[in-house]
Amino acid sequence: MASAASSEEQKVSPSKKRKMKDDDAASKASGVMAYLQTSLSKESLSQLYLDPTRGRYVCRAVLQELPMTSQQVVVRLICCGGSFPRNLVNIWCGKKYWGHKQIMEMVKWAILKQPADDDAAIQLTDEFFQGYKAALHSMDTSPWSPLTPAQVEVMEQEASAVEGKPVKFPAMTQEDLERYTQSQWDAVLHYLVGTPNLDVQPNPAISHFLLETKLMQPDPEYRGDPEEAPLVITRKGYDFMLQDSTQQVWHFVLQYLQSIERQGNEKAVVFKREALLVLLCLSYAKFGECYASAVLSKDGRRIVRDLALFGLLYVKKVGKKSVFYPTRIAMQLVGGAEASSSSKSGKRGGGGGMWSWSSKALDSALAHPYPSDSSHLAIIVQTNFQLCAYTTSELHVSMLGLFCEVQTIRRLPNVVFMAITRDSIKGAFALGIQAHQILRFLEKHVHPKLRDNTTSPIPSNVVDQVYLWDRERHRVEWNEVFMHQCVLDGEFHAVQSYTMEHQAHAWSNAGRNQLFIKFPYAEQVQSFVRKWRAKAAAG
Amino acid sequence: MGPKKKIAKKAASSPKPSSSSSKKNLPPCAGYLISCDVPTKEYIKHLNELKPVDKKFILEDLDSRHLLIKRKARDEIERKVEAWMDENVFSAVERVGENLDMS
Amino acid sequence: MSESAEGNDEYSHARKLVLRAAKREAALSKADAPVPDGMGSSIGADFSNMTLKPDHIQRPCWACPDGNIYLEAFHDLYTQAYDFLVAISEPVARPEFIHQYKLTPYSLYAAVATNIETESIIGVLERLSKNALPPQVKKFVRDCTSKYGKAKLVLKHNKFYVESEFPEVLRELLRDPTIAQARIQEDVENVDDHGFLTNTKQEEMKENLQMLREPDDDSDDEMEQNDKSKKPTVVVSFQVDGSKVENVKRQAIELDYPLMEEYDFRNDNINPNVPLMDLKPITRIRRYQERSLAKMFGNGRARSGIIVLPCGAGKTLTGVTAAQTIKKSCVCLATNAVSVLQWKHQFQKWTNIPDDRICVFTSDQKDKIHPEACVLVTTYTMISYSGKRSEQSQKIMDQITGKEWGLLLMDEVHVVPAKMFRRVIGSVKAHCRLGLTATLVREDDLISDLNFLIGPKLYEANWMDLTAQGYLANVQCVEVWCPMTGPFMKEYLMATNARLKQLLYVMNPSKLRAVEYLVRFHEERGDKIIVFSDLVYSLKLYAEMLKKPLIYGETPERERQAILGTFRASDMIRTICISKVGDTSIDLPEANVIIQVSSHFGSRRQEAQRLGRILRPKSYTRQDGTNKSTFNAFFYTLVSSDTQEMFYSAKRQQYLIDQGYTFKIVTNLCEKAAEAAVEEGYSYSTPEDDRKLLRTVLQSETDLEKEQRAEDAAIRKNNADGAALADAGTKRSTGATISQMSGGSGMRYREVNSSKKHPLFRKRQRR
Repeated sequence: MASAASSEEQKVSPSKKRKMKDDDAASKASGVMAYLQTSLSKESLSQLYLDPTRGRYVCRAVLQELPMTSQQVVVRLICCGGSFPRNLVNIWCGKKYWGHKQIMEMVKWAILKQPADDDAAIQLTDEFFQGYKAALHSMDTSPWSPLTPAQVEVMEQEASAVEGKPVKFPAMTQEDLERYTQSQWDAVLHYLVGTPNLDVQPNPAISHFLLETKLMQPDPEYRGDPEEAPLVITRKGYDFMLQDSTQQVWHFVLQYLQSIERQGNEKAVVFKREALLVLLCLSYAKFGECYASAVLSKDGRRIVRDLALFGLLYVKKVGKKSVFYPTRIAMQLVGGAEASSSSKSGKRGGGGGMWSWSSKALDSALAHPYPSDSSHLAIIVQTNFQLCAYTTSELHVSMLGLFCEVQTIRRLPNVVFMAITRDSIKGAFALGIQAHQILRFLEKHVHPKLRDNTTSPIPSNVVDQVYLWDRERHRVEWNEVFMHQCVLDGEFHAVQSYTMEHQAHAWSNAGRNQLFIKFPYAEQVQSFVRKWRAKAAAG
Repeated sequence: MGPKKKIAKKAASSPKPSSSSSKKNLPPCAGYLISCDVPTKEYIKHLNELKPVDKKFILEDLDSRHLLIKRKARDEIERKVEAWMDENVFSAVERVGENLDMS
Repeated sequence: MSESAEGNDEYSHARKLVLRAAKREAALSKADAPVPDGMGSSIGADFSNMTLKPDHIQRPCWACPDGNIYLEAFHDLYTQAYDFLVAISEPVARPEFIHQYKLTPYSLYAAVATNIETESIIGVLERLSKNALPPQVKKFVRDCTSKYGKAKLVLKHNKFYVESEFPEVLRELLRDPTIAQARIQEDVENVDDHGFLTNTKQEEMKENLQMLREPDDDSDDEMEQNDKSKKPTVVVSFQVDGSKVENVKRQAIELDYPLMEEYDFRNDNINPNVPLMDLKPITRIRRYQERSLAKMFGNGRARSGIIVLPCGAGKTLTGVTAAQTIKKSCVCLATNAVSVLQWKHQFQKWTNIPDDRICVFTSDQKDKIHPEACVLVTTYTMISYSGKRSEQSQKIMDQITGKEWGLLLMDEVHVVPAKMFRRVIGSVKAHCRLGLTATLVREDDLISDLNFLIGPKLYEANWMDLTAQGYLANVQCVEVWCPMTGPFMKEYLMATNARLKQLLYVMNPSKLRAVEYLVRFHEERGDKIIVFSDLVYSLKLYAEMLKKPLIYGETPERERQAILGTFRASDMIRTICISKVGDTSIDLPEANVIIQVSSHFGSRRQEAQRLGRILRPKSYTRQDGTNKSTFNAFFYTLVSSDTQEMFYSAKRQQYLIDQGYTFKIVTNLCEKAAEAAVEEGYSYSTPEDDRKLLRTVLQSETDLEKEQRAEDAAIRKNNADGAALADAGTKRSTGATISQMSGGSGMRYREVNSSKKHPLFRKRQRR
């Protein structure tokens, strides 16, 4: 039933929508594919396409990034020997759906050769042509085959023979793997927030990464040897805490790739190419299956070990051989954090990001007789601004403490109660945390009982209020300005529209022919005025 | 709201009028232009009213949503506006667990 | 004035018990609530070391050592757990998913009063709790119930008996010389070794004990078998001299064995029944009404106590049903003359009571009291009036004080001032007292006293459950932010006196336009609207602006009835403006929109009462459980942003928020209203209108004071409820600062925690 009040939602939502969009943009920029597109030269891409065994998977993955029409064009071009007249290609697609923009996109991906002019034939690059032809000819759906029970048995026997005692194969269920990634990644975050007495200590490489990515910094208040200074979390670190874990993990993987790049030698180039190929192949692997490390090259095995540091893979030795399980998060890294999960699983819910546990895994974690063994998080936000978090983790309490009233924490064995207040939310803003980030964090970790609801799992009055608190911060806008007094009406109107166009306008009054213009644009506006006056004088 | 504000301010005032004026013949900086809602403007004006003549910071009252302010007054105004917004906030936190007696 | 002294006496005993209870409670909350390190606050607590049971997922509650209990409202065992928890503890907050309750001495007192024994409280709580029940909780329950509820004062065959299941309790009581002296030895057969009378215990209704049973124990047969195999409980008792009952009660309190009073009305052969006071066949009782009455009559006798039901949920019918169950003479106390007539009407509507057996006693109407059994409906003021009465009035009063009543029925029991209350209980000798209320929140701490003056809280319904079931209208609560216009803001900031500040934020032109906008909007939809304003000055102006009739203290009764009648019966009047006289007891079932323009500072009770005006289910309310998703009533509060009104508004909402209501904040309505004002020519649409208004407002500060005083005087004259409110109002506003008026906890000028380092984050040594 309509009420006079119904419009408030429209009012809040545009800003919300805008923010969500920014968010999507940010998450699209993460992930292996985005990295390939933005950070890799065409030459490097071509070399990936050319890899004899794995190039075809790269080609497939790249093709999937393109719009449907472009995909069609590529497939038809393959059938036509890799080249076709432009005007005929246009007829395939219709000009409306396929044109310059799409061509340039594909050139950027090193799929098409740069056309000499507008009439030149559309031509696939040799590398992509080779690579994708191989893909079309191959029936394999995955670059690696998982271990069969028979192979597993053989491995166990071999290992037992070597060790001189029975060796059991490390069987892992999907839930085991989720738990494993969670605990590995939690160790990283625990380190970030400074939790004392950790059970799982992160690898020393992690602290290096945290410094490198500026999520932590040496304590600026430390008065001793700077090398000895303890590390403290930075503002960027606080912000990082509430990000999606896929985003967080990608942050690390990116750092990993960049650190390889920085070595700058030929070996590093080869190593990085191998790393990218491994990451791409992971997306074709099956979650919950086990693979023998033997499918990898020597470099590949090192990469797998490195990625295991962040909990992306589970690696285990069986006798002399080693095996690995890809985790869900590793497989999602390719598609970019949010893009893949949000399109598939709708607005919210289990399937999506890895950190929000799948409903099933979360249900079973909640029912665990000793929930302290698990690091699940399930949140209920109530209409009275009380937050109930089913968790046993110190880490989660720290994270929730970023935007909840710390004084109100009531801890029970498997649940924590806190209040969301204006002070606590403003405290979070002061740390550089955004309103939409808080709300998304709450939504992502919502308790499974609230997940089937079609409406938002966070009460709308809480959502509205958080945005209203956010808006309070922007009640006063400050601009350093200079005054521009015009003599002629014409000049006033010209300067007014010029400054408005260039976001330099702060205030103007037509009656007084007076303008206040933002100071940083002084030079630019001055020069416009000079030109206008010269023209006026001439005309 | 310490650190962030400082950073923001630095950025805002980075093209220092004094230093850049040596380079080119730039106009003098007129001060800060405040854009805000009507009640907030009234409050800032109220602050100005309370000041002795020589400490007033409003240079010009432009219209119902705009004021021109002396540059050095920014910190103080920001602080006071912040405190003003906190004034009428009711916090339910103090009464957690209480029910029957009227506080 | 002995009657009044008696009331005073009883009152001071209640205070004693209250203080004792407070001590116990304080001990518990201090008990073992370790505060997380580094935080010196009493709110937070760390109970993470409690032992969780491995099958915790199958249990719906957590019980904390400080007496707080949390309940998962989405759990399969919710309904059962709810009935139990509401019987033994005080609901603190009941939003949709997780409820909070608290064990208090009163709640436990109520539990034992309704025959839930100490060990079953502990046993069931243990069963429902996800964590092992903390020893502190067990100790607290035992401490609070060891003596309470162990002995009862039963009126049976017109004789008073002190009764208990535990002979040692009676022995302990009899060690007191006063009690021993009051004892009457009887020469009857069923006497035990100590000379106590033995009887079979009055069994509690099965329905009331249902919640104590194991969840998987569904079969009734088994239950009955258990009952049979168990020997019927024996109770022992001794008779006390009727003239010394008060002494016995007082001594029992001294010994911390407050006697719970039960009235065995079925065996009362001396007081006659009111003839024909039976429910008509058309009368239907809802489940929650039945639950509450079952608590009252659980063991076949009548227990004194309080029943809490939301407004609009049929409190009156519950009261009428209670009266017709006892069937003895009954005094029914209402807050004003209008509701006296409503009560009379309800008695006649639901029962077959003959006209001459129901009498009204108000300042306007003084019916003759039927010499035999009858129902008397009157007001608190009429009974407690201490000045000189007219001859006729005094005669009736003498009849009342001279008569023995079966039931004292008290409506809106939370609004009665303590002093008045004392006089009432001193004047009416009733065997059983039943208090009815919607909101057990009030400005002084009489609530605690009520537990001992009337009796424990017998039942409290959950607002949200009743809404979902369609027994209450589903109300959308909206807080509309109205920005102050420039000139009003300027004056507000300069104003030094609280009254003027209040006047400015109430008369804020944005608010005026918003009201007009909302009234037009809802009238067009065909809604019926009440505009509430506490400030009479502004009420008049709003009424004038809207061209709508108004009702306030000085409105003559006839005019009042005419307006209300037209509003109820026709579409001629769709909107009425009402002052605080309409907070309670004006029955307007047709209204479905409330626009609250000004109110009594931070009163949470008033907010709930006003909401109650529109809670009566509308014709289109659904009863199939889908009611919760569609709104069929609207409660707007208009608040001038950036003023103290924001603080009060937020505070007022707390009680309803605890009941699970949410307030939607709307910030852009005033913009729309301003546009509409210009387009459609509202009364206040131009800056010139605003300026004129401001000039008027600034000149009328004294008028305002005068009118407000006149209003209070008129209300006091007309009805007691208003008097209670008006007293509270004047008491608080004369010479008080705003922060005092807000109740002390007041405004905060706290700095936002802006330190770079978060308290929960620590430094990390490099390795």
